[in-house]
Amino acid sequence: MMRGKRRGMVVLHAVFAFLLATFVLFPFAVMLSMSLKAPDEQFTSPPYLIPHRPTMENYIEVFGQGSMFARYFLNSILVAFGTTVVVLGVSIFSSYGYARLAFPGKSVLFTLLLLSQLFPLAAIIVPLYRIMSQAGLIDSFFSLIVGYLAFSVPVGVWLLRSFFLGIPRDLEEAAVIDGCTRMQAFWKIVIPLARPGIGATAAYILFITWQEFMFALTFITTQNKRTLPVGIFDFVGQYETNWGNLMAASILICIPVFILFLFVQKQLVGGLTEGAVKG
Amino acid sequence: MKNGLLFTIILVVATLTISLVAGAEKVTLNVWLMKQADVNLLKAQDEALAKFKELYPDIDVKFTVFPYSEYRDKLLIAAAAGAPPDISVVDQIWNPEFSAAGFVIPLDDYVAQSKSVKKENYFSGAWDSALYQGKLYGVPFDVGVWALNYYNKAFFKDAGLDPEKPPVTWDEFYEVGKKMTGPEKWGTALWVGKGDAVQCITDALTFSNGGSVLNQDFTKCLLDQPAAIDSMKFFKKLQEINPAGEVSRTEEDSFQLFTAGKLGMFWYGEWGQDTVTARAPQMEWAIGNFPKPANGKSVGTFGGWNMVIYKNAPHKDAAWKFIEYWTSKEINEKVSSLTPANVEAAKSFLNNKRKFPDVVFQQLTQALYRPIFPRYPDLAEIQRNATTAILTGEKDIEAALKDATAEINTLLNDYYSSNK
Repeated sequence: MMRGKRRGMVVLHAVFAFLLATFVLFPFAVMLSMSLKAPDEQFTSPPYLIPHRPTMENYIEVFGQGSMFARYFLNSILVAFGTTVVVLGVSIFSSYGYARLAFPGKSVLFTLLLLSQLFPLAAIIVPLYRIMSQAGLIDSFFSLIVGYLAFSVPVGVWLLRSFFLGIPRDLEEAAVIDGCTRMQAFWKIVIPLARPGIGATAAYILFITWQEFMFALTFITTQNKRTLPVGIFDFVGQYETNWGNLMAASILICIPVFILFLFVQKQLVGGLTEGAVKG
Repeated sequence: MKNGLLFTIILVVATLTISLVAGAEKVTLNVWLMKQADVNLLKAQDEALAKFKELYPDIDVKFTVFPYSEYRDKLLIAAAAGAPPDISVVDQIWNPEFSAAGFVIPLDDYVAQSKSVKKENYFSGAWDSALYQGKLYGVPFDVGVWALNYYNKAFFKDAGLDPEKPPVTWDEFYEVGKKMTGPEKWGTALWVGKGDAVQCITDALTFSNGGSVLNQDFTKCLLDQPAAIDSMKFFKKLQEINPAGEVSRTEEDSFQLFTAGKLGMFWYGEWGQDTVTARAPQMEWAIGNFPKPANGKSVGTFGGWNMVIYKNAPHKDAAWKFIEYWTSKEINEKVSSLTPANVEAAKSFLNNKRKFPDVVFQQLTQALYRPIFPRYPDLAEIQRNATTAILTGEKDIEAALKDATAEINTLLNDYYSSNK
């Protein structure tokens, strides 16, 4: 009796999971389907998901003559990884400080850090443009990386601090008693233990910089310095959109994110929730 | 000997100085254009540019291209920050805004001295779209006309009609559409969309009916006049031969219904021809003029792009040379993806690249530009909201247009009283 009830629950779960997966994956399926269709198959009535004459034409055109897509891709990788490395470098030390050290004004500074997250991007974009312009950084990758630091370092510090707080202080103290310096204890004990947290933070920063649009649109003008979220609009015309190419490009943009997610999935899901309750 | 040496040194120094000065005189023009996807067009652009550099070795030209959806923001930010390009194309409906803000300069003096840039060489509606308070702030580069009547010949045959005789008047359009409408097929599809495109359709109806959106000096709204009211009555009547959902559909959604073979007729610009061919290679289709009221004239609405020179441009004379070159008959025809604004270039472009070139050309010569007002996007939004209210039945036609007229008049008064 009890077993039957449990089996019923399992079936119900499976049904709901299936429905949810369909709901979530359907747009992606349409994207994939459209990217493999020639224009005459894209907007039929009634529509169908599986192309009758699948074609790679759209993917070839995305990398074809006159298309800067490959360049945009490289630029995005450069900017996203560049930002992530710097953010991690800064926020690992900073968040450890906020987690472990006592210094005057600590809580005020930490609050200020979080406060910086409350400004809508649209409100700070013009002042930032002027600052970048005066610093001679406009239209360079630096302007993007520096701009992204402004909103991703606070997130990084905030996330990582929670992870550091979750590591028992006793472990470091034990290491110090055994002859480690504070720095050694940090490198040899704390960092390895916080690795899931660092991985999760890195992945998070990568995700948000990979898809950032507004700064990329505002700061970059030259075509061969544009990043993907801006560059993908090359396929959207004034009156008409090249849907096949656009969808092929969208699929390609998703791939690095999928790969990354496969690698860090465990850490990301575990990591973010772990941090959440200690915050 | 000594003198000879001295002379040689002087000569060398002089030559160096002259060549340095000459080198420094080489100017670079930054030109912002719209992104073009067509590979052949990109090639034509490169070739035309190479020829320009041959003609003017002292002028270097650097193109930066933007996709449409990002272009306006980029231009406005750059112009406001004082770092615009030297030359750019602007949408006809942005031209007044750029002129009024002083971002771009009047070109009348250049035009007066030019051999090739003359009003009569361009479509008059496109030329007039660059005028602001009596001065010319742009040279038309390319144009498009809303709308032509695309039709699917199979629908005519199925309804027992002659596919070589598309409807000419509003009444005929409605009657033909009614005969075509049946289960899962319709005479036409309306749309409202989000941008400023639907105004091109409603304005064209009003223009065809002898009306106008604003009065001649753009200070008063005329949408509450009978010409506009009757045209919206006709527009609303078309709901009967149109699939439901027009208010949330965009022009692209409705165009997809046409290429999917669900519509007998669809109003769209000449630039859509390649898309119909690509999406519906089997369909037999043709183009007729935009329908007109029984005693009216078929008048379309212009879209298109003008070339402007920015106030901050350090080398305005060089910039003008480039505009003269780029809008000349020979070049305009090759480097434009829409119909060239130069009339002679347009004729040859339409003959080579479009079907039914005569119909398109005729529609272009009879098209009018949209109201010249620096805050045109706000005006267009009021119009679009009225169109939505009319189609949903939220307001009756007279009331919706009366309200819109009042709102637009307030907008005009606000603008003119704070920008004297």
